[in-house]
Amino acid sequence: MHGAGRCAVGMVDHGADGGINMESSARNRFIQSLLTVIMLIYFAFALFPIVWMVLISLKSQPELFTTKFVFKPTIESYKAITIGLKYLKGTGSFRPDFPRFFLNSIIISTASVAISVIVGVPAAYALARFKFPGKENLAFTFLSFRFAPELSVIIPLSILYRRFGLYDTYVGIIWVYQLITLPLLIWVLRGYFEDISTEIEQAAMTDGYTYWEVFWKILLPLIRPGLAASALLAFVFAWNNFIFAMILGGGKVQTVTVAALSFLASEQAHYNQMAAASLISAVPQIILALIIQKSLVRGLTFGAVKG
Amino acid sequence: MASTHHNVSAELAIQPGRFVPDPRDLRQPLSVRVRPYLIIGPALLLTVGILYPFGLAVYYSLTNYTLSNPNYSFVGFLNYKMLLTDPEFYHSAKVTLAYAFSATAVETILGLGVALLLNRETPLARVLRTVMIFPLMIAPVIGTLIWKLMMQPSVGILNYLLGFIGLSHFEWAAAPQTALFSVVLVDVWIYTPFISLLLLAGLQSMPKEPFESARVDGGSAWFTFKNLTLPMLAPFLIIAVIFRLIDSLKMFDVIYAMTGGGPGQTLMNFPLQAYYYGILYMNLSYGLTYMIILWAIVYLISQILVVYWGKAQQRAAGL
Amino acid sequence: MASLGLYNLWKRFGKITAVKGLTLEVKDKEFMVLLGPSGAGKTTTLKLIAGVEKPNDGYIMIGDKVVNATEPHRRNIAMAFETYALYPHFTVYENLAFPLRAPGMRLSAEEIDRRVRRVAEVLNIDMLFDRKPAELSNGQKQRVSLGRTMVREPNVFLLDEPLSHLDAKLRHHMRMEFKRLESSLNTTVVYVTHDYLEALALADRIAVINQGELQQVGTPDEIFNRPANQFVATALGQPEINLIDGDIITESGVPVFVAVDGEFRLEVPRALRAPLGKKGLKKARVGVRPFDIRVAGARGWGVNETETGAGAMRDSEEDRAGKAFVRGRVYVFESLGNKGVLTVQVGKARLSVLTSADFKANVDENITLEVDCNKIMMFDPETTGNIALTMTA
Repeated sequence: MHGAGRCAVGMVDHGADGGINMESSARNRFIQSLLTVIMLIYFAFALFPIVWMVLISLKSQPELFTTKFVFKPTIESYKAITIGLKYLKGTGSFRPDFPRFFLNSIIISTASVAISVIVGVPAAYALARFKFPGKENLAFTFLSFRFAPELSVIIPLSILYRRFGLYDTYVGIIWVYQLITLPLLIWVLRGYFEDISTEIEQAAMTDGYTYWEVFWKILLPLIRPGLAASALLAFVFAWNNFIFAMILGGGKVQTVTVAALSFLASEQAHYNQMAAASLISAVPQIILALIIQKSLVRGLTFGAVKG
Repeated sequence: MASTHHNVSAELAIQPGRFVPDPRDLRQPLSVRVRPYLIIGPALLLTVGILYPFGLAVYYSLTNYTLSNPNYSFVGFLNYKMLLTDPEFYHSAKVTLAYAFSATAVETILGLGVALLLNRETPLARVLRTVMIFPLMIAPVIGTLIWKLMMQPSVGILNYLLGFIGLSHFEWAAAPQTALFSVVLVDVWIYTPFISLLLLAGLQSMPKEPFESARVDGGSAWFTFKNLTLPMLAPFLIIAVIFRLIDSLKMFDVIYAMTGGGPGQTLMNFPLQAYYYGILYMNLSYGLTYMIILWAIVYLISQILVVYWGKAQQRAAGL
Repeated sequence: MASLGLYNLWKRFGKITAVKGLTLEVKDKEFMVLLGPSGAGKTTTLKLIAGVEKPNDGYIMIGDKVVNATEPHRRNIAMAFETYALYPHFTVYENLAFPLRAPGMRLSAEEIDRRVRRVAEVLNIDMLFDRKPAELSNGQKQRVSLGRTMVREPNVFLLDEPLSHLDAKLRHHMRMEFKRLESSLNTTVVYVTHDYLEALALADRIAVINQGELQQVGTPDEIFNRPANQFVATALGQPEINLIDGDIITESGVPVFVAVDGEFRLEVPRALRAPLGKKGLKKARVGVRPFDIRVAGARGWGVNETETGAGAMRDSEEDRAGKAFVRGRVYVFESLGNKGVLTVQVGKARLSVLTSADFKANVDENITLEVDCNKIMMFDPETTGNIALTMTA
């Protein structure tokens, strides 16, 4: 999102410099403030739940069931979910599984993205550069994974996984997560490869480099920003996934999303810990989102919109 | 001028036939010829690995496979016939479509408004463009849980706030009348930024000149918006709608995390039906039938929208 | 440092055939220019030689080796791309050093540095070492791209429009520089351009290509004065050669060319009579270069040379006797500083005439032109081939 093509659109700016007489400029000022108010209302809606979550997570157990906004903040909940009983004797039977779930999420998301990168970068390159029969069909197949209802693949897999001992294993979960990460990487990276002139590759070849060296020394560095952004977005998608992990994973590979839900069902009272856990598991996404903000649109639309 | 069959090689005194190259020198070496396959191979293998269960899904929907009946047999379209005579199916269809269309409609209108409001270079707009994406980045399940806590009838903040305007006891997702509203609200909270983000990208990629000349011509703000902004934004709008509509048609996380499909059957959309039948009740074939039908609907809708998208792109480019 | 041979090369991209049966031999250390309009298949030909595109048919030889199966990095060829194809993530220095750092080169860091600096000095880009391509002007990019080919000692240099994106002044300057470089490069060069002046100025031999087909190969003199066909004749010279369609009649045993309702008539020069007779053509297309026509009478004598002095390359065996006079009206006169271009309406045809710059003419003024009959070319209207040349072949 660069400023070059920026322009004033909509009902806001037009009148601003057209209005000469006092009356209309007063009207404009009113419209401007009204729009600002509307904007702030939307953002109250968008951000309030997160703010409220922060407040809850900082409340102590006794204060939890009051709707007070002013209270004495404590990081008790954070301690409880990360370190656990040892430091918080007598607050309940809660065993801090959260670090394990968090680690599971990290392992599964990282490995899924890593495999997708290894497999997807060459595939994206092939789809961008080579001409081979059925290429578009293949590309579309990758895309269709994005739009296929997840359960249509999960239900048969639940049988297959049990049969082949992949149920509740990292390998099984990471494999099925390719459905989330791989189409994203292939489609977005394909666009990035297409953005590189073929002649740059050809120049490197005539400069004395083999096909593979050109890939490593020229192409990979050139798509690196795009690769980093789409890999991070794929990580976010993998992290946020719920249904695959819930159905195809059991206790061993439980991720934070699955754990959060079961936690709410079982431990009705500890909303503050629940909020703390949610926030901790949301923080990586928000940081990643800020890093990749510029390429976010391109990633979210699989390259259909080059934001 | 096109074909001047003028014999130049005679002038050059070159006889191409005088030297016959070794055919081995003309063929690409094996290492070069296998290269494309090496490059695409791993992805191809993985695709086959993923396509296989998809194929299996279609096949199972044509059998009477349940976990209690592992010796299944082919039953043709029996599951589909059963489904189409099942009132539960029609209820689910209603829920699925109502959820998807209402969520997408609200998000599109709201998202467009937000995008137009944020397409300004004020410090506030710049900050809001960034924080706007937070709900979109948080896992939908987590986001839903946050709302679920807020909607808690006893301790939830929402009822407390509603108390100020006299709406004291709102049941939210716990009551059948307001359940759909509640989950759509959460969907809107999570995904409106998606639409805004896309439309902002669209707004910022627009050329300046048409707007300047429209201003010179003295067109009204509404006229400019209707005749310039909207047509040029149309491709972005349609892409956003495609993504949102498809994703909300197959929405599982929000509904499942909020009510698990309840209260009663109130929020049982297709994916939840498939989950209950296919996974919990172990009636795989019946659950998959729901999914295959959803698949067909998704495919149909996306095909229609993709056609519109192509047209909108051409129209936008023709401006 | 090697000869180059292309034999019956074909290259298709989907439905488009870019190169159609091209056969061309380039001698060792020869400077060969491929001249043709855009889309003629020149760039594709270079890429086939470099090996970054594979021919559908035919073979390529470098030295005495068939290289079809040889990958680009083993062909020892340096190519400068029209799009520059600089590596955006490298600095100018790194761009220049890149070919020298190739695994096959095994050069010491000092040697690489020495060569990069030498080339950069020649091209006057040594002050740009730390810049990225995005920070360069087009002219600078073009010089870096050229420099990248010059740091090595390749078998063949392939240069694709290396001067095209420069403004007129810099272009002329670079053309001179190039002419100087040519002698220092001392190797086989294939140079692609659409600019005939560049071709005439630089080439040992020129290959004219149109729509993927070779039209003619020859020295600049041959190409300019004895074009194989109408395409080659029009491809060189500005303003373009005048082409007039007419009939061949015989008057008192002498073949006469008559065109534009008898307004334009000239005796077929002696040299063309035999080939014309042998072909038995009733219709012909006459080509006259604008500097072979002048305004008759006391005023406005035409200049006889183009700016490159291409006119001076013309055959010297001249028959002063053969003149033809044509009457017409002034259509327009454009003064171009050091010369003028007069366009004259003759019946339905228009003729371009090169004049001196101080020539004065009023629109619609009646004027008589003097055509040098011995300098005319004659083309077969059917095949567009040069009548004089098809005979000698």
